[in-house]
Amino acid sequence: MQNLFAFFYRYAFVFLFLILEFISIRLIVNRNEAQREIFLNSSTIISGKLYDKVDAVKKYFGLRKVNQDMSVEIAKLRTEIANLQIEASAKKDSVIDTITRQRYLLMPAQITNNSIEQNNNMITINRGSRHGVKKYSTVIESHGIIGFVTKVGSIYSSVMSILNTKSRVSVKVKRTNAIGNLVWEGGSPIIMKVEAIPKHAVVAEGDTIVTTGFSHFPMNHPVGIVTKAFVQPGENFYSIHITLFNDISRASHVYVVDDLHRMEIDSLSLPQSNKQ
Amino acid sequence: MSNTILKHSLRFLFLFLFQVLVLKQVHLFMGSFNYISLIIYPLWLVLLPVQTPRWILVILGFFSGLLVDWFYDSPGVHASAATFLGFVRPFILSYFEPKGGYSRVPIPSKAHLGLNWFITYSIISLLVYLIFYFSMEVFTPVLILTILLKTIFSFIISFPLLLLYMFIFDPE
Repeated sequence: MQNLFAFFYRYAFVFLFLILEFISIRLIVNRNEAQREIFLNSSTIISGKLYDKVDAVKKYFGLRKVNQDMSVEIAKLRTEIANLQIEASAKKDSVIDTITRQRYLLMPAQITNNSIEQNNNMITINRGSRHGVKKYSTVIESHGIIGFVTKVGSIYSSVMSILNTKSRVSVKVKRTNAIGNLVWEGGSPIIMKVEAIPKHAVVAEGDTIVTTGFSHFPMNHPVGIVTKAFVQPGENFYSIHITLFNDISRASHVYVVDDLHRMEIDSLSLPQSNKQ
Repeated sequence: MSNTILKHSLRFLFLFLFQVLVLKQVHLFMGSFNYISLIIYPLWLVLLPVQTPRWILVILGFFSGLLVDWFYDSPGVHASAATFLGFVRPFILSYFEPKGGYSRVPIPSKAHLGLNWFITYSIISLLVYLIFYFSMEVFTPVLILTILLKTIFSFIISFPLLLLYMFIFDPE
């Protein structure tokens, strides 16, 4: 016991030293901004290194998931590449071989703005004069028609939707070639009317309506199917209700159609009265 | 005895005031070259009587450092270094013990043990203090180069001052 006391007495200064150093360092860490930052961060540096190691091991177990994510990503990118090639080909398409063999020039486009709830609906597409869109170019879908280009910007164009009370499109009954006008009177975006088919023509429910090509839509492009056809007493024309093949409210990928024969056709049909 | 205490107290007071009122105001750096601090107050620890008990050395180191910290606005930094110097001083002394021992030597000064002996002893003591002090100031071993540079440059400027003090006052 005495030895123990002697030991403590002999080495009291060591304990004293350690205690005072401890107090000093506590003071440094607690009262000095810079040192406290370093003290706190060094502990995170140490723990951070540990986490790095754990993470590196964990990553091996996550490889399968990573691979799956990667292949999904690759598929997405490949799709985008395919789409980009379509756009590139759209630009190359402006090379026309001979005017007599090719009448329509199609260019893929996307709808960037659309409406169906008004009486005079307009659509915006992401193609403009830079891409070769001209005024009165027509816009179609793979199974249906969309409208006419009315304003051409450099990158975007404004399209008068066929869901517009001012729109008139020349259509015909595919089976009998009876010609009429496609009009919209508001309401449902998939129901339209065909006017000006005389009552002697043959029209029946279930007949397919296609374009004539007179309105510069591609010839015989499907439009819709006849759901109601009747002649009002005292009228000379049919009242025909059709259901469109396409739903314009959901359209996104469309084609802008440039009728290469438009100039010639218009110059022959329109201005004769003026020239006389 | 009381005379000795008074002498050492006065030396401490002088070195302390010189340290915090004069040396602290001297800024010897240009641009980013901020490696020089003038520090000579530990000299009073160096010059304490040889027979001072170790635990008193440690305590005196701690409190004198704390007082300097008070003026340096760095709580604990000087205190830790001075405590350390107080702790290792007996080991330095015993390492450089002259042949006759310290029996007839009241304080380890130039007057009693010669200039060469004192220079070696004070170089070691000051370096111990500065290395510990800058380690605590920088506070990360990552910047070991900064610690060493600060120690070296501060030592080069501080040590001549310390010697100058010894030549002017030549304490016995």
